[in-house]
Amino acid sequence: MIGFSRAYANGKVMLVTLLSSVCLLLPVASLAKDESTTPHWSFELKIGKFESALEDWDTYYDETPSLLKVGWSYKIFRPLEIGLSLGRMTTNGIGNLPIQGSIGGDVDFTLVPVNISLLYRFVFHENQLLVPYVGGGWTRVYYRQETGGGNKFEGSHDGHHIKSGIQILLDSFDKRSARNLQQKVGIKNTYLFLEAQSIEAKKSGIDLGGGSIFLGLLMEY
Amino acid sequence: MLIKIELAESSEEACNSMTSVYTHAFTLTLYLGMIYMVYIRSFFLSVALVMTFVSHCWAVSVPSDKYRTIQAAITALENNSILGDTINVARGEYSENLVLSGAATIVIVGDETAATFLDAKDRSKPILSISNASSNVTVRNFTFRTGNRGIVLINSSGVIIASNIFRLGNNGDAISSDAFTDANIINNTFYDNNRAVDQGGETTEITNNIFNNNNVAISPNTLTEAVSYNCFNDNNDNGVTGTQVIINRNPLFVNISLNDFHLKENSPCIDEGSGTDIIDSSTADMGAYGGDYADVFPFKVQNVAVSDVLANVGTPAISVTWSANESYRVTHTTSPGGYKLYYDSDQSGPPYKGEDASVGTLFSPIDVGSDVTSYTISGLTPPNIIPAAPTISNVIPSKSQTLDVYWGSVASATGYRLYYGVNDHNENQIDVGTVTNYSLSGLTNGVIYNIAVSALHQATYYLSVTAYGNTATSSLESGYSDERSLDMGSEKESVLSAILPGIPEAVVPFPLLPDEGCFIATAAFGYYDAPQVQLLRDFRDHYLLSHSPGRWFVKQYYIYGPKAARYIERHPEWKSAVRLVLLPLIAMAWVLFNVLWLAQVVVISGGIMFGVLYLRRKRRKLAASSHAREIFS
Repeated sequence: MIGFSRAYANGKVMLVTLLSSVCLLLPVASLAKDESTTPHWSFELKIGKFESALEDWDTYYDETPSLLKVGWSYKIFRPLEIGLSLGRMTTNGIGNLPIQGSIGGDVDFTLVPVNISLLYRFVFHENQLLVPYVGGGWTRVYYRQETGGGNKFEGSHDGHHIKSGIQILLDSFDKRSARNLQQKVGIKNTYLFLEAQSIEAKKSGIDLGGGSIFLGLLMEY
Repeated sequence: MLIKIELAESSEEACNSMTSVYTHAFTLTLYLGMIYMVYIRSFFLSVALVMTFVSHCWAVSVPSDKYRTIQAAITALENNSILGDTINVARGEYSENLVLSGAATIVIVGDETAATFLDAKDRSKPILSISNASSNVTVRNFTFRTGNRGIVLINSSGVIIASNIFRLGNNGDAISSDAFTDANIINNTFYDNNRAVDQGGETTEITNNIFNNNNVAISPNTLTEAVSYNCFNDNNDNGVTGTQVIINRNPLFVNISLNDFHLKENSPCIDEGSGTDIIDSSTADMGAYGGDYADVFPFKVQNVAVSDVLANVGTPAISVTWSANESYRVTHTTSPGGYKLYYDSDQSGPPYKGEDASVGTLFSPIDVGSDVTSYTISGLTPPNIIPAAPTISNVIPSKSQTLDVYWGSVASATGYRLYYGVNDHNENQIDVGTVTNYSLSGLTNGVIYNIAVSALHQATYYLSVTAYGNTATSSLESGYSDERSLDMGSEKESVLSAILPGIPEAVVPFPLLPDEGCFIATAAFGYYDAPQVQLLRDFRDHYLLSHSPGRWFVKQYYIYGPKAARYIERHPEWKSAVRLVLLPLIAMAWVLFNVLWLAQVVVISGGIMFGVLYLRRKRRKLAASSHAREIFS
């Protein structure tokens, strides 16, 4: 697990994901689409596993708790977009008993990472089946710890994040539904995506960031 | 015999799935094979019996996992005939608006008339509606209690409404029927309804019923020939009374306030109906407890009381008293029923297998006969058990000022006692009941507590009384009365468990992150854990975050507070001034958290009064000085 985190930190996973994405992209045939249908906004919902950058995390909490995120993006140009995303990770674990020099008690730990990202998507055609992307930006991680006795510890760390992933255009698989979505709801493209993300949010030597793998749904409108 | 056993065991399960039916059919085939071998020696008869079993299921029960409501069971039976034709409804209260529309051959039967209550969920709708060419529907052994309409019959045939009690109140019509329905309304008791039977048709038979204290008993448009053998008393309008009628004679119900509509001895409605009683094959009684469908249970025995009478008897003994059940089947002059006394010293609830009484009838139940309302169970030998010492498995400081203590259960223990203290474990004792873990709270963090547990045993007797009818078989016995319990003898305590130490302490979360609230106070008092800062933090959590204006204030504070805190950090000369400004707030927070509410009121009122007096005094001084200036000028 520690190695996994380090791989994130080194950006190796990003590189591998990016290269894989490009390889997958190359053979994809494209179909022209009317420029007027180019979307400007996107909304995404994703769920994944969070692996903390803290070395002793496993001793106190669930090894890889779930992280749920929602995000909105505005497309400055077709491939370039700026986005805001909000996540939430809650886990329950144990704390330290300093007098007895042991671990114990009950601790609820919540992290709420807020990201502002700049994202580049390798999209060349509206009907492109696979769309790799890379991005990064500013992060603030809000935290809240609550111990069994009712003591609360709240605050935030600033940091940054990088992410990369690949989106699969679902419209290609069910064109009729895609057309209905566009006509009735205004959703122009729907993607299923897999994303790797790394956050670093360090203050006083404590990094509240970590790595995450997400599976999500993105809708462009 | 074998067939009977198999049928009794399967009931609902067998009917609820084909798989189950086949499984039971297979089992039955084996049995029948044996019967064939031994008795019948007819293969074809065996096969015929198996086919009969598979093709005919018998009942579903309510409530059950599958059918939580009666309506759910009705719907299931309507849609799946293999489930059978009978719905057995357990004793209890059911609030529903039942609908049978186009149903064929369904029997809905309550476990006990006096204890199976039907109420209207929506009072604007009938409790039960039978309509749309429903046929052969039987509804029996219920008490219809709350609603504006009890049963409404529309265009249905072969409906039997029997052995029910209708008590819907002044606004309730018990049974309403249209002109196209034929029904038999047999052996019901109608008490305190607006209209008992509002019958629009010509083919409904109304027999063996008791109409008492209703506004209208039977509406005038009912044919006289269809009404017979009914008892009318104290109705504003009897309406159609028919033939073989008893009019204006008190039916002598046992206890109307308890809904016990059994008949007392000398009731004019005994043996005056048409047909026979299922209980003893005598001429049928009128009312809900006579005829072919009557339930056979006397009403539950009331007002059971128990007391320890060792001092009077000389040996451990329990005196039991109860109120008499005045049903004529219990009090009958020539062939009375009686009472049975159940007891047990091992566990609460049936089957009450006590067997240690050494005087008179020994084993539970004790048949105490008729015409008695008290009995002393004497010569008892309460279990004299000293339980083994429990073992503490863990002492965990689960949270600040708290230790969670866990121990293993001990056989025969009826409770546990927890000992704890700082210098000696005997400083405090808590009887914690039958649990095997307990959270000791309100302790001092960082202090070593000595903890031990002992097991307790208290001999307790559990008692219940039943009544039975004059044809004394077990099936004619009432349900158990409300159970009474009595502790006998002194409580026995085990030796203590090993004494274990425990240290309560505040849990520190990982990673150790600062609480960034109370920025200004932290800056002014120098460090995050300062008690004054903690007080303000507590004040925020308890008194500000609990309402929206407080939350707004906290939000504003979080926006501007850090800037002020940074300024104070850069200019330490301001720290003393800020501390002075915060002092009243800290004092108030301290009062709120540490002083009783009455003292809080006194302190806060005192503060306000002091402020008012100070202002008035200042105003007077100003007025006096201006007056002086006027004089001297």
